[in-house]
Parts: sequence; C-alpha cells; structure tokens
Amino acid sequence: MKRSTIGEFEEMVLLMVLILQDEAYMISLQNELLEKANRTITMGALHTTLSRLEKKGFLTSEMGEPTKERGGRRKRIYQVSAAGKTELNTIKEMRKSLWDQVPQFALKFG
Amino acid sequence: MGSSASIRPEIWLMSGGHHDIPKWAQHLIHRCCREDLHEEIEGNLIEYKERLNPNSRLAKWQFFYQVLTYLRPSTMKSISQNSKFYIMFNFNITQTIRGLWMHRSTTILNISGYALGMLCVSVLFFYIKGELAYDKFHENKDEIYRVIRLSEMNGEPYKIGVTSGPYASHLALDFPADIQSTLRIYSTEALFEYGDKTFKEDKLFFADPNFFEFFSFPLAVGDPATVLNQTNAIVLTQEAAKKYFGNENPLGKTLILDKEEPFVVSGIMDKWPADSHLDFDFMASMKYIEDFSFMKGWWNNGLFTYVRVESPVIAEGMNAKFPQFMDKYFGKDFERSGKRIDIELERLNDIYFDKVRYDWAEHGNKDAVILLAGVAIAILFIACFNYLNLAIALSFRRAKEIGMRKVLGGNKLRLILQFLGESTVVCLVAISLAIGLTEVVLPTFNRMFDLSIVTSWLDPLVLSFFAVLMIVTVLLSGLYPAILLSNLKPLEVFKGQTHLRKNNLWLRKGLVVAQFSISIFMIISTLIIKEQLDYVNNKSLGFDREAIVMVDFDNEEIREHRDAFKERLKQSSKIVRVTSMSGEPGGFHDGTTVDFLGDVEDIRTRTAFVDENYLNVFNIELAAGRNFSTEYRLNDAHAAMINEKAVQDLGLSLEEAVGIKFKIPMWDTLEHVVVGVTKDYHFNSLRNEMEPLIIVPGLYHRRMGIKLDPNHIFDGLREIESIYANLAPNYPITYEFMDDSLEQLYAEEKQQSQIFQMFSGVSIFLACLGIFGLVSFVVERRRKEFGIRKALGASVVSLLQIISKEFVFMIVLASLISIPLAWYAIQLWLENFAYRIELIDAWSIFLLGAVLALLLALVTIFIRSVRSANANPTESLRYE
Repeated sequence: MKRSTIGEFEEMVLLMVLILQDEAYMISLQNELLEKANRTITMGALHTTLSRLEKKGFLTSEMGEPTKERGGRRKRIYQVSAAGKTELNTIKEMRKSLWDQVPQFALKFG
Repeated sequence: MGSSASIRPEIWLMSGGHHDIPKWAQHLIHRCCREDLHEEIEGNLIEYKERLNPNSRLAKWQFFYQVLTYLRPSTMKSISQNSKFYIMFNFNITQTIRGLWMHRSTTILNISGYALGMLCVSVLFFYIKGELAYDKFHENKDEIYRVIRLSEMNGEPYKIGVTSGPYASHLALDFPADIQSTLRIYSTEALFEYGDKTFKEDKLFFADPNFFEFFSFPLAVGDPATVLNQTNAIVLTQEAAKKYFGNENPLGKTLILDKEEPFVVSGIMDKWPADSHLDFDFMASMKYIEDFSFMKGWWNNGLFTYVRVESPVIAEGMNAKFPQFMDKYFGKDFERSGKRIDIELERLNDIYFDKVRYDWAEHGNKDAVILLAGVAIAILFIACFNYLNLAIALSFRRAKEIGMRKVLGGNKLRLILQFLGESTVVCLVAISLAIGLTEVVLPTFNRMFDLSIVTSWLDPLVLSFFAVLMIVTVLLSGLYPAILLSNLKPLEVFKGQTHLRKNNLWLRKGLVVAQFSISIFMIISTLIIKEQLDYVNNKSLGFDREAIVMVDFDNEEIREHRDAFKERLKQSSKIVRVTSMSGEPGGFHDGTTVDFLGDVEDIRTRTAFVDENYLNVFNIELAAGRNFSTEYRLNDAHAAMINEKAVQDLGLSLEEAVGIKFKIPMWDTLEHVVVGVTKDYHFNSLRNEMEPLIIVPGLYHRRMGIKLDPNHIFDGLREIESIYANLAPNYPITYEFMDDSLEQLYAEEKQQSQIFQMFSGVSIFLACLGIFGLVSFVVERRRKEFGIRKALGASVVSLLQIISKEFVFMIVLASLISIPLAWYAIQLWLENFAYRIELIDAWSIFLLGAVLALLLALVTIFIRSVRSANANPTESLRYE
C-alpha cells in the first residue's frame, strides 16, 4: 500500500482550502480551523504548514488584491493543485476501503 | 518601541494606528522575515489585530504572541540574508577555528593554564563554601544564641564556651519575656554495647528533649517533638545505626552504655544538609543525667546553654542586664575569689569561627578561609594574565586579519564581540575541563589534607558562581585585547605601520611583573610558614616528649585501680617511670585565682595536679627548691611548686618564692607551701605566652604518663595493654603518644602550610607557563634576527642571554615589589604565635624565594629557546 505523504493536519488544511475556495487565505483559514475543527493555531505555525504543502506541490498560491482592512496590503490566496486533489481522493479511498473491512459489530459498544 | 514600555506594556504592544501594526512588530518582521513575505505577514497581522476585541486585556498579549510565533524557520531569512555582516561572520567562524588551530601551542597553553587555574579556584570555592555553610541550615538560625562566659587571665579577656546546668532554667526564670526557649547540651563518651558488638563512642551528646525542635537536624524516623521525651531515649545517625544493628530495624532496640545503662533507640537522624558546630553520632535525652549532682552546681561547667531570642535587639538588651544576673547568683563567689565572670550571648552564626577557650564545639579558622580566598583570586589573576599577555603578544600577527575584517564591514563593536567570543570559547573549554578535573582530584585532595569537601554543581549558588567566574575571566582576559585589536586602523595595517608593540609593551611587562610578584610572594610565605612550624616543632619546650605514652582514666574500673595500675607498671622492666596527673604538658590546664598570703598580689594561674614523678617523667628541671617527696600524700599534702613565670609575676626572687604560702579559694581551705620552683616549660601551645603555673599534689588525676624504655617501645606498649586489660577487662584502652599529641597542637597550621605549599606551586607553575608562551613568541618573532646574529658569530649562550635579559629584569622588579609585601603579611601571621622566628633572621628565605622564581623562569626560558638558539642560521634565513 502506498503511504500517504501528508499528515492529518495537512489533510485538514487542504480540505479547508477547498471549502473556502476564493477566500482561502491565512486569517480565514485560521478562523475556520478554530470554528469547524476546533483547532487553535498561530499564523506562524499555519504558515509553516501551508508552505510545506506548497513545496510538496499540493497547494498553489497567488497574491490577491490589496484591501483597506489590511492597511493596503495584499493577501496570499491558496488553491489546491491537481496533485493535492488526487492526494485527498487517495486518502479518502484508502480510508473508505479500510472502513469497509471493519466488521459491523466491532464498532458497537465502542 | 516606546519609552513607556516599562510602565504599561500593553501600550507599546498595541501602538500603531488604525489599519496598521505597531512599529516594533513591523521592525521585527522586516528585520527577521524573508522580504517576499513581509506584505502578507503584515496584512495578516493587521487583519488579526482588527478582529481582536479591543477591550480585552488579553487581546494585546494574543497579538504579541502571534507576532512572536511568526518568527520561525519557514518565515525567517537565512543567516546569510539576515546579516549585512554575513561575509565577515562567515569568514570568522572558520577563521576562529583555524586561528586557534594555527596557534595551537598557544591555544593549548591558554586552555591548560586556565583549566589549572580554574581547578584551583573551584576546589577552593567548594572548601570555602563548606566552611561558610556551617550551621546555616537551622530554620531559626537568626534567633539562636549560645550563652558563653567571659573571663580574663592577667589582663587578657577570653571567652569560655561551657556553662553549667542551672544557667538555662534561671535565665528562663529571670528573662521570661525575652527568652522563648532554652536548650542544654552535654558532650561525653561511653562504651556502647549491642549483642556482641562493643565500641567506645566519643560523639555522644545529651540534650534537653526540645533539641530537635530547637535546632533543625533532620530526623529520618521519629517525631522531633517527642523523640527525646523518654528518660532513656537515644537517637542515632544512620551510620551509627548500621554499625550496631546492620540491616535490622534499629527502632526500639536497646543499647547498653558503660555496661549497665540501657538506652532505647527512639529515632534515626537523616543526613545533615550541611555541617554544624555540633558533631555527634548519638543524641540521648538530658532527662537521664538531669538529676546528677554535677548538673546542679553553678560551677560545674561542662554544658552548652542555648537560648532562643526573637530579635538581636532583645539579645542586646539581655547582654546589658547580664551583670545583674551574675551578681544575683554569683555575688558571694565573686567576693570570695576577688574575681568576676560574666556571660554574653553569642550568635549561632558566629560560633563556628569564634575564638573560644574550653569549648568542645567544632571550630573553623576565619583567617584561613580569607587566606585561601586570596590564594584563589591570585591564581585566577595569574591565569588571566597569561591569556591577556599572549593575546596582546599575538595581536600583531592578526593585524592583517583585523584590517580585512574592517574592510569587509566589521564595525568596532562586532569585532570586540568576536574577540570576546574567542576568549569565551577558550574559557568554556577550560572551565569544562576544570569541572571534570575537580571531580577527579577532590577525593585525593580530601584524603591528603584530611578534609571533606563536597561538590554540588546544581546548587543555584554554585551555578551562578561559575557563571560569574566565567564572565569575570572572559572580561578580565579578553576585553583589553579585544578593544586593542578592534582599534587598529586598516590603512595603517596594510601599510605595515603597526606600532602595536610599543604601545602596550609596558602593560605586558607589567603583567609579567604582577604574576611573578604574586608567585614570589607565595613562595616566600610558604617557606616562612614552614620555617615557623619547624621552629615550633623543634623548639626546646622545657620537657621531654620522646617515648612517653599517655593512658586515660576514662572509666570507672581503671579509676578504681589507679594505684594498682601504677604499681604494676612500675614493676615492668620496659617501663622507666610512671606518673599520674591532671594533664600532660601541652594538654589541659585549668585556670584559677590564687590567693597568695603575705604582701603579694593575688594572681590568676594555671594548675597542674600531679604526683611526685611528674617532673621526672617529663624531665622538667627545677630552678630552686625541691620536688615532692615520694610519700607526698602523707608528708607533702600541703606542698606546691610554681614556675618561674609565677615567681616573676609575683615580683619575688627565687629564694623568696620558696616557702611562700597560698590558698586556692575556689577549691579548698588548705594552706599550700611552695617547696620548689620549676624552670618555665611550655605547658601551653606556643601560640600563647608563658603563663604562671602552680603544681599541686592532687588526687583527681585524669591520665597516666608512662615513660617507656626507648629501646623496647613496642614491648612496653604490649605490657601496658596487658596490665590494663587485667585491671579493667570490660573497657578498651585509650592511649596516645606524647609527640603525637603535641603535634596535634599545631595540626591546623601544618595543614594550612601544606595547602599553601601546593597552591603556591600551582601559581609559580602558571607564571612559568606564561613566560613559556611569551618566550615562544619572542623566539619566533626574532628568528631571523637570531639567524643573522649567529651568522655573524654570536654564540648560543649570548643568544640565550639576549632572550632572558628582559625577563630577568622583570623578575628582579617583581621581587622588589613582593618582598616588602610578603614581609608585612607574614609579620601579621606570625603575630598568632607568642614564640616565633625573627623575620630578620630569615632574610635568606626572602632571597631564596626570589632566586627560586628567577631560576624557574630561566629554566623555562632555556627549555623553550635552546632549540632556536642552537638552530642552524641557514634554516631561518633560507627564505629571504
């Protein structure tokens, strides 16, 4: 079985980027992670994860338009690359196949 | 960042206008983060800030946290981008290592010199720390005072450590508001028995039941409040418990003391956190001896009395009221003897270093501690000067390197930091070595000098000491060269104008002179201390000490058979003479006021209670009159002898002295008649002046002095042992040789002298190491010059002369500086001794010290330079 090259948190970040679509940048990601996944993370740490994913080729990014609330600074907007989508699908498939192999009764009384 | 930072952190944390971030954050991001990230990071931070609740105090810190955590490898510039001094620094790191390696002989010299110096400092540090830690672990240490007595001997006041039983309760009664609690401790010895194990133990204390609450000696087993409540309760150290009970549970076991008294183990002590002036293995309850008659008498002094008082002010107040207290209880005695005694409170913290007579507390010598601290500092200086000197000497070699650095953008501060960094590296290596070596060396050191120094590296005090030591060393040795080097002007350097050498020539010479001054000072002190101790050991004391054994009457059985013991010893052919006495010369001599009848002043004298053989055994000569007669108990019960000093103090002639009568008001109503005058012999340590002495026939003898046949010492000893075993079969014999016990009197000085010898050896070695480094440098620098000189016909000797001339001058100068200083310091030390060598007579030692230093320096120079002087000049001139 091919081993996944991303971790659980990276997977979650990729999914968040997909969910947020055009609005996937640092602040929104940080907020969404807190609200939807109950994960507190500093921007610095998130930056590390994002740039790692970018390096692995699962993310691409480009600078957006400057806005007033950012004091005229542009933001970096992330997008999941084709490789990223494939990776997410692979993970999902693998999980699914594993789930299918779990006997029904084994989950009861968990 | 605003100046208000120190007042309200949140202001500067959140300064900066709307839609902007504070200046400090901006600066930080610009300074540390990659340029391509600046925009998005700032934007994110601004947005983040806008979303925070402005009223929350926490918000400011959240923002601060976000900024700080943005600084991470993924966002930061690499070091090469981060510093405009990158080239210089990049250059530096390899350069430092290469530099240290290139001058590796110097580096090794530096490191080993430092390591040795630091080793000495660290050993001495732990020694001094141990000395100063005495009694510091008691919780109430600032409230505890010992009651000591004050007396005087012919005008010279002195302190007495022991007091008698009634003091504690009467003080508590008379000062109910001031004294919180009292405590009495009595020290004695006994024969301990458990099963088949029998040992003589001399560290047995009896104390009031509140002992473990009063002091903070930790208990491993037992309640401090009640452990000594039972009359026959006894508490043991863990070692003592192991000794008697092995792995059995000692609690509740019964120890038999002196054959009949059962004591039940009620507690076990834990390891003490530090040393104490009280040194004991066994602590029994005072209740057991409370009713003994000697506990009731005001004059039966033998105990320590402590009081707990809330504040020093109250203690002062009590000190002021003590004369009334003493008058109340001793008024009549004072009148009768014409002599008063006072009491005083002595702080617990002062006990260990206080000079107190008649005291069985452990004592340290404050002078020795100060002396050794001085030695440690001196050695540290020598080690630092070595580095300093070599660094300056090497500086010209590095002139080009420094010029290069400056050209590449190194400013002065950074250069200074760079050079300090280099000395820090050297120093760090040395200090690590020294710490390792301390652990290696300390056990041997402890054994050699009979010390028990322990290390405790993790103690915050120790850590901060070594941190400070490190900083001081680095600054002391690295700062000046660093400033000197960083001041070089690149242009001049590249033009070849380095007048470095001239500028600091005086400093370098001064350092060598300082090093040798310290070394010569220490050599001279060492030699003189040794001379004085030899003098003390060999001085004619006025009595014999060879082949004399002393046996203690320290148990009932032998005391009962005192006369039989003496008789049987006399019959032995291996034993020449026997005497029983209160104390041998050099041993204990009690003091008392003597009431001389007739027109003579009363004087205070020391006393010796002896029998008719005392003078013969110790071969003490008579100046006038006669010895006691053989049947002294019948015929000479009233007879007495005095020494010449007493005669002199009384203002009499020898002839007048014989026949004079006196009384000892404190002891008896007998009228004693002086029948003889002995020549002065040193019954006290030579530290004290000769004191007047009366020798009286007496019955309360504590020891037996036995003069053996010098040819049969071993057989004689065996004979004594067998006679003793016969008469006192239940007790082991305790004896000591007279010369051992006399040596014991000066054991402390001897130990000091040995320690001093060792460290002065180290200091001279370090100083020579310094010279070695300097000579290497000189030899290398003048290689070509020597080559030319040799080619022109100079001899090897003349070359050596050239090299050493400079150093000889410096060492002569150092001697001139250190000899007067040593003279002064040694004079101070010698004042501890009433009988001492005259420094004028010891002038040759001063010379010897200087010559020795000179010789060692010359040998060092010779070793280092002989090869270069011998070298073929073509070698050095080949490349020109």
